[in-house]
Amino acid sequence: MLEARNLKKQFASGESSLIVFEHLDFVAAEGEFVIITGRSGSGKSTLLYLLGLLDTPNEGVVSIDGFVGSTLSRNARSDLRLDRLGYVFQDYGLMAEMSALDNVVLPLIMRGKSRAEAKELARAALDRVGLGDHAKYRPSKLSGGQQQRVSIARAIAHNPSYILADEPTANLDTTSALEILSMFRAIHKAGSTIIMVTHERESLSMATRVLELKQGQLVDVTHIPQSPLQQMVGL
Amino acid sequence: MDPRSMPPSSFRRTWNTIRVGFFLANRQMLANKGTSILIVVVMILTYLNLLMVSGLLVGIVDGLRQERRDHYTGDIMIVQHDRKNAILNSPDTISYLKTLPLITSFSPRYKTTGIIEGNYAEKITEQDTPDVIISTFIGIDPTAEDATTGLSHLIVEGEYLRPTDYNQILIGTSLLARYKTLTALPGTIPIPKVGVGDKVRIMLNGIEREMTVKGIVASKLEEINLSAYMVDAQLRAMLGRTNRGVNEIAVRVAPGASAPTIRDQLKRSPIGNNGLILYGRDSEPSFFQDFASTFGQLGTILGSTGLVISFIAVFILVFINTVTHRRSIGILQAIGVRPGGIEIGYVAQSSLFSSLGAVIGIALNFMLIEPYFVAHPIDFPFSNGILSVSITEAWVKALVLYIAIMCASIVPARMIMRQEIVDAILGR
Repeated sequence: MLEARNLKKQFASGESSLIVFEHLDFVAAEGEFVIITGRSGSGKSTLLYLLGLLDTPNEGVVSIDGFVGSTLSRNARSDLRLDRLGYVFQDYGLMAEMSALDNVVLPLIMRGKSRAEAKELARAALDRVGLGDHAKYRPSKLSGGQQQRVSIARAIAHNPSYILADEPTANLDTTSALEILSMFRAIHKAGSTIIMVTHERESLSMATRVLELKQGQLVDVTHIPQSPLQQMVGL
Repeated sequence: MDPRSMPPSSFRRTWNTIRVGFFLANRQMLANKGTSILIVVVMILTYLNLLMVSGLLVGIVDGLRQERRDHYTGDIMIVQHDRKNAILNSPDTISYLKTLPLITSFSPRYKTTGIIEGNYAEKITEQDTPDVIISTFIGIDPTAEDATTGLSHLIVEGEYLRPTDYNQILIGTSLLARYKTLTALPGTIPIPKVGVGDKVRIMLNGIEREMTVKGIVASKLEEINLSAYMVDAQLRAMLGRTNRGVNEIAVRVAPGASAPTIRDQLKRSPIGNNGLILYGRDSEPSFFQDFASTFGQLGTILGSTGLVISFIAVFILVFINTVTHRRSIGILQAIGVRPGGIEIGYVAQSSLFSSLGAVIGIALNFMLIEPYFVAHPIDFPFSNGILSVSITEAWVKALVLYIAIMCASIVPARMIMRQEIVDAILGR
């Protein structure tokens, strides 16, 4: 279970400060597909960074499968991220100097796989996202949609418990965005827990739970009607 | 997955971190081959700067030492004891040296000081100042001397002495105004208008002789330039050395033979107490060591400056590299790479660059640069400057460079790693 209790995040700039949210609670159980939505600047991504132990809350705790982030050393937090989390970033977050394959291989080596084993698993992950024949390409040679698929392959290659996705379709055209969303649906169906931040309503129907971050609080808005576009593409 | 099964600080985690560090280093270097090669070139130049600045400065003194060994002392020098006017039992000493197979040649010398006067035929009034200069007179067996010190190769004008050349003399350039060098003795005026074929008058041990200048001797060594050479029999007669007591013997050992070992053997031999048996720096005037020490310090200061500059250059290079890769560093941490793995990535690159720079620098130095300077010494006024670098010194400096570059890369990598991951990702 990925859980946040009594979270507070505040940004200070000089003498002024901005409280993004306060007394915020969040729970994602195993097998859930949670979408966090909200307006730009509502703090969705900030919340996701806190849930992924990439940032430190001003107050409150985040725990992943019983491990409380604030009680762990930097290395232990890295290990926890490696073992339990997979990240998909809005702008893909790929290493420009590495091929698609190497980008996926990297966390697998960190997990202790041999080079050959890591390559095998990475190829399998790239095959799952339909990029098996693009393994040797560097990110700069791939389209936005393809780069995001590499990012997804990297996130799922080591079979993490939770996949955190931060606006994964925000930089993509409609067709690519829908491809990516259907990929997430497939990953979820395969058993992964997904927590996705998005402001695109087309993805909401995939979620088991939809939470809207509004005025610093999470509101459950799971039951909303599908958009015509969703109905058209069958999501 | 059972949370408690995770061993966050196990050996395996650390090993994986190291593996990832090397993986990152490898990929970054391969992706930026041009930059990597450029950095290695900078490392090579930095290392050669570190090595050559002090090497050349020390080489000035070493060039002088080599000149002295080649053309004056030989490999071993036997000199008279203090307060003695000659090597004791000189004939026995010479006979003993002849029996040693590892001694290829030796040159016994008579040595004294006296005055050389030139142009005396032109000085006809009492007001005319005589053209005189104090000189060291060395009596040599021309054949033995040439075999031991190659003195004939130092003749720049005229001819070398033959054993029968009585009343003929070789004069060092610093004694003659035509050849006057920067280092003529203070308070002395080299004799003007005297060259090969001219007559000079010598005065030593209360005896005057008129001699003809047969040749001019030029060396980087002022001990030679301030000397006048004549055949040993004539100087012996002028000194009245009926016991044939010589003042010094220059000894040349066989190629490959160890001069210090032979020196030690001679010290333990029956002739061991006849004179002082010296090798290398033992026979040097003390200012040689002063020079070497001063130049060594100067070289270290200049080399260290170069090292500091390269430290700063690498620091800036790694800092810029880490700053421009800040987002990537954040993402690497986000996907579970430990900060140590990323640091190792940078450190491994710097380690490889500095190691390659040093190893290639060492190879260049000993296979190309040093042989070049041996073949083409730098023509300093007082020395044929060579590049003097010992292999130990080369490795020590390689280690110094390595440590400096390691520090220069660790510090900026650590600085970037210290910030929050999200700040690195978002460039805050």
